[in-house]
Amino acid sequence: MKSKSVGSVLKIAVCSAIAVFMLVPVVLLISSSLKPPDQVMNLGLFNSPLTIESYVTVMKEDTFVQYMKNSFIVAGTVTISALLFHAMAGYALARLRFVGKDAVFSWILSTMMVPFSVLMIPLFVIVKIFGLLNTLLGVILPFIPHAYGIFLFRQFFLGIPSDLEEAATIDGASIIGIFYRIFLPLSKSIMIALGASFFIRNWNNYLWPLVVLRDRRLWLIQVAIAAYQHEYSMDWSRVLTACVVAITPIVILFFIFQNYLVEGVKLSGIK
Amino acid sequence: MMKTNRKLYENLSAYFLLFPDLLLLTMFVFIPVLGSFYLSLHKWNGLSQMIFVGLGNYRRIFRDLAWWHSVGISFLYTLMYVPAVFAVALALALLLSNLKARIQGLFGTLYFVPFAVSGIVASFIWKFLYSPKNGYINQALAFLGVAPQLWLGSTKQALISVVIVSLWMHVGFNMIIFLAGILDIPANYYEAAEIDGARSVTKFFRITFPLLRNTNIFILITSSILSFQVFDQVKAMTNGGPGDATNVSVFHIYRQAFEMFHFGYSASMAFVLFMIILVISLLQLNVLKSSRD
Repeated sequence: MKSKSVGSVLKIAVCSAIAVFMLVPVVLLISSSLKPPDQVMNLGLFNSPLTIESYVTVMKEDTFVQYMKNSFIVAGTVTISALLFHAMAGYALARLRFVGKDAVFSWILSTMMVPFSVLMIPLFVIVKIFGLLNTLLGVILPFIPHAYGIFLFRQFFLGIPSDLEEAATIDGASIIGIFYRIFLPLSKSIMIALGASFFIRNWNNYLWPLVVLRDRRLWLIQVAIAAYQHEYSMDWSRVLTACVVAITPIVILFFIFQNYLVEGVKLSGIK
Repeated sequence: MMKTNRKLYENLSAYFLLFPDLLLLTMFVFIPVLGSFYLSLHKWNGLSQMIFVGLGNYRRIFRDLAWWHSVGISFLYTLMYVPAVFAVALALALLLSNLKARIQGLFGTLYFVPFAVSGIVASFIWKFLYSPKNGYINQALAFLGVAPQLWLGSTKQALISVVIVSLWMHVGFNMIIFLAGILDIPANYYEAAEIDGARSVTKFFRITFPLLRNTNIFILITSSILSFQVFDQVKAMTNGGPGDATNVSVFHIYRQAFEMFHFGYSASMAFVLFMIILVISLLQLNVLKSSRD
């Protein structure tokens, strides 16, 4: 018994050491952003006076607020439309009988195999043809469809017992009505898990917004930060502070929904 | 009569519900895949008339040393990243698997934090830590008596420096999947082994690892696909350099398309990359599936 408890204390010590290693980069990011700009390369956590000087510099720049706003619009629109559309599609695939169901389902799954790098160039051409180049809509639309999201909604709706649906059908409710009034409210947990991960993915997305957006006023936060390194030739204080502001909404989201996110990740492992 | 009406109604409702996603998937995945192949048969700079060149682009790829060099770098990256992320995530999951649920949850969340950090932000944090002059990592090495290293500035160390950042970003995510798999293994398997006096190492190789087969396949394939797609870290930390030490395939394609405007040729490179990824995934799937006893 005693050796077992010594063992688990040792394990916890090892786990803590690894946790420190995982968190140190983030801690150093925050501590560096709170140093006076000329002391960023003064290493150490508490050897400089704390100041929000660099935050004032970054937030004063009105374009920075604009970049954050653009990212909110893009990530928010993709998340809300994706949740609604995938819930609809997942419901149809799980609970309705229709002609071509298996073919439609396999076709949707097959789109999962295609890596984004293959789509990137033709997508650019398509978005250009639609006149959506250099618009937020051009960033948003291609990132709504997501076979895996449809698949997870389907799995979720397959697991719901059919009594509710049958009772409602006898009462003369329409199919859309049953979906809207019975199934949609039941799917709150999967909505939160997928919604949080869609939002994070789109907030953090870089390559596609980089390709589509030329006009600075439309830049998303990731594109803007990436451009900082040329504009301020590695003014670390400014770059790191901008990084802290950029991850703040996601970190808040992460800690509020951490349990849902973890459940969502576990789902992805089951195949 | 009622019955056919009901059927028709159900069919119409189903396609009504499926319509938005089917339309978007067609426009933004299905047509682009066909379009990618179509473009790959043409010479096009994005502005002038497209010129049909048949398989000319593919013949050119065959002899394009810069392209194959970038494929080689992607392979090297994958060979470093995939085994590392697999081993570290599995080791962490094993370490956590015997702890109490609450402690498990706490550490799980802490390891998962880098998942929230974007590729760009992660790149800048680490670029800062890697600073050659007096960055944190070199200072820590100096403390241990090791000479300062160039990291991202060295042709030998740049790629592995990028791998370390990717590992930091993704290891917690994969750990959670492993942990869920380990916790799904019924406890009585271990109890039976303990009665037979099996040691932990034996238990791992005889019970845990074989029963994690589906998780193992999933992690290997998704990590390999991900590592052939790496872009953000390369663009933000090294811009493909120094020289072309970190010029991975997707970065090479990006530059050929959006900096040099060789749209047709880069579409054909993207198509070749797609085939490489597909073959690797299928190989992994077949080899690992057939290893079942």
